[in-house]
Amino acid sequence: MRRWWLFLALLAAGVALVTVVALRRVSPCWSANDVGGDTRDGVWGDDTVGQTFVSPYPGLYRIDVRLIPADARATHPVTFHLREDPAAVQDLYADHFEASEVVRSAYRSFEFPPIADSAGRTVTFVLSAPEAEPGRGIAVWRSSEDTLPGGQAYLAGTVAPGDVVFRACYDLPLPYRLLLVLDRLPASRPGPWGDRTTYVLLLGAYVLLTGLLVHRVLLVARRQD
Amino acid sequence: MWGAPLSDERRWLLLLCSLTLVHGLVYALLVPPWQAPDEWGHFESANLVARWCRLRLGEEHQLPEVERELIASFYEFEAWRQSSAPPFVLSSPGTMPTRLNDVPRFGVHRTVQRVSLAYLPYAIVDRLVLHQDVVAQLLVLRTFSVLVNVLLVWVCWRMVQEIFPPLSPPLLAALLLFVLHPQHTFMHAVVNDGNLADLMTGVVFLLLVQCWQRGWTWQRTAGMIAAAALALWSKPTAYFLIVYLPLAAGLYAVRHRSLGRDRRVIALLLVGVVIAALLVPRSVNLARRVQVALSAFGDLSYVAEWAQRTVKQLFYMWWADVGTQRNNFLRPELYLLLAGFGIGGLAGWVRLVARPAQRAWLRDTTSRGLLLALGLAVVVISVLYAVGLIGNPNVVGRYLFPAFIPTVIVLVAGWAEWIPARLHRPALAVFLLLLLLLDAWVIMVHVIARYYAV
Repeated sequence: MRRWWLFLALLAAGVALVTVVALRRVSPCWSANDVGGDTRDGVWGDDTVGQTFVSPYPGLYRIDVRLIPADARATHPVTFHLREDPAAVQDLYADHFEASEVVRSAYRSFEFPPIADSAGRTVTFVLSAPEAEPGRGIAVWRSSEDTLPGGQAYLAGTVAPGDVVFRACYDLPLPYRLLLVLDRLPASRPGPWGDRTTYVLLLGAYVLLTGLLVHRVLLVARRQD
Repeated sequence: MWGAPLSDERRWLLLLCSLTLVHGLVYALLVPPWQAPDEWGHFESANLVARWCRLRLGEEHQLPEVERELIASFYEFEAWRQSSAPPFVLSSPGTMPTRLNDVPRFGVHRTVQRVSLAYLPYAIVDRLVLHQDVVAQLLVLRTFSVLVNVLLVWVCWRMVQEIFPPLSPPLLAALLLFVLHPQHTFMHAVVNDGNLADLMTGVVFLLLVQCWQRGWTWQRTAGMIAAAALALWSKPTAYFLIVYLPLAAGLYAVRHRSLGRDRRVIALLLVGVVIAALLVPRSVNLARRVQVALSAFGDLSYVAEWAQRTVKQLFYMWWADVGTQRNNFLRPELYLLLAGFGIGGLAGWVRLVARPAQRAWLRDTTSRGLLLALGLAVVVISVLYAVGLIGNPNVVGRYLFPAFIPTVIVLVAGWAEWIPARLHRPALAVFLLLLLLLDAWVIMVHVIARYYAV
């Protein structure tokens, strides 16, 4: 009898190990608005660029924003502000960098202490460069279509159409990364394939049938010739 | 009839078919669209066959609107990211290519000029959903591929019953290897031009086994000719039948000494296969392939390079290479282990058929003869493809899948030869454990973590 418990224990341990290995490779970043973007918004003078979004997970610790380089001769500071809402003056966190550090159109990461209770909270980030001359500062990609439910772009503090191109990353324990995978699986798929319930049911059916198979094989294995 | 309980055998068959269906759907739905060998090309061909209602297509049948839908879908799923293709991300969707030939790497692997019966069943299914989004059409066709694989499980089931004792551990082990094999499951969960060929060659092998066990009949022979023809007209990977079937008939004649009236039926089979081969679509220049392959082997440095490449790719892409080929490998140590198991299985098969019956675990003379015949199929297909005579000279392990059922049977019979018969039952449990762990690794690490990591 013990040997069959050993079989099940080995199987469970093996599957658990495989799952841990797999989930450790899952990037804890939420795509948010990860599309190409069709509009460039400059960050200079009074022209700030901001975005609010409802954070889906706890442990928010990083925001990646897709930036476009400034004029080659620009040497002004740019500030990334993390705030409670667009009207807030107080920063939760601020990060300063030089415009010249942005050398190509790519994501730039802004890390801050993890916000443990970020799930369901509205978060705002704003980029500003008051010393930049108009037309000479960095720019931010934005999609003019509203692609992010619950999100809103802001230009100079005023509501703008669409959403800034950005990603949000989380300090997530491994089980939460499973939620990330379940969110990513049905993305862009039509009909029932766009519903994560389909995948949960499918994987559940696979586990059930595999369990039946294991049961039948163990019955065969235990039989005496 | 409806109230009768299912026999043990039928329960097993039902369980295996159900598992094949769900297991296949797991791969079909988890692997993102277009992340399979030339899947966009095969889909385009099936879609055009469905629209034009003809198998032979030319440049005039290509449709820019279909190509634009495909390209838009590439962008939607960032198809280049996991395909080792040069990134064709552009600053805005407005500048994306409008014709497939302008898309890096993806544009090279199109199959519109290929005349193949393999696209006909896909086209029939696609016609029912032509009005749907291109991704919806793809997922429906993938589901159809999975259903074809369920038929293949039934073919495998019937074959193993002719060879192994009923519900014996080796019989079940062969079925488990078939159902849970990652590469085979993956290829039969995507849109591919090899699936019909695999099914039809499976039918050829089943009928051959039945002829061997129960005698040659006109009906079985006609069935073999029809299935072989369908296989030959589907994909070049079935061309090994042209060489194999005469050899199998010869082996039958040698083992049975006197053919009697079987002689005429077997002759019909050989004539039928030759005629089917002569009618293969002209888009495949068989003579040219033979000439190129034979001339290449005159160069010793090519032979050395070929040997290294062939061994590596045969193993990699026979066990588990999920994706658009050559870019989603298991760890090398694991492949080495799997290679060792493969060699052990083949060595065991040699030992089983060579030693006297009373000393082997399988003693039935007819079954041993069948094992020899099926092993011959594995040898023929491997040699022919390794030298590039029939398939793509850049041979990949999945090109051997038309002989997948014989390979599985030969390997399992060989492994059983090394294990004492009294340990076959517990060994079956260990075998299942290893298969489940391999499958879990491929699904979790090579599909989920690879494609959904970001």
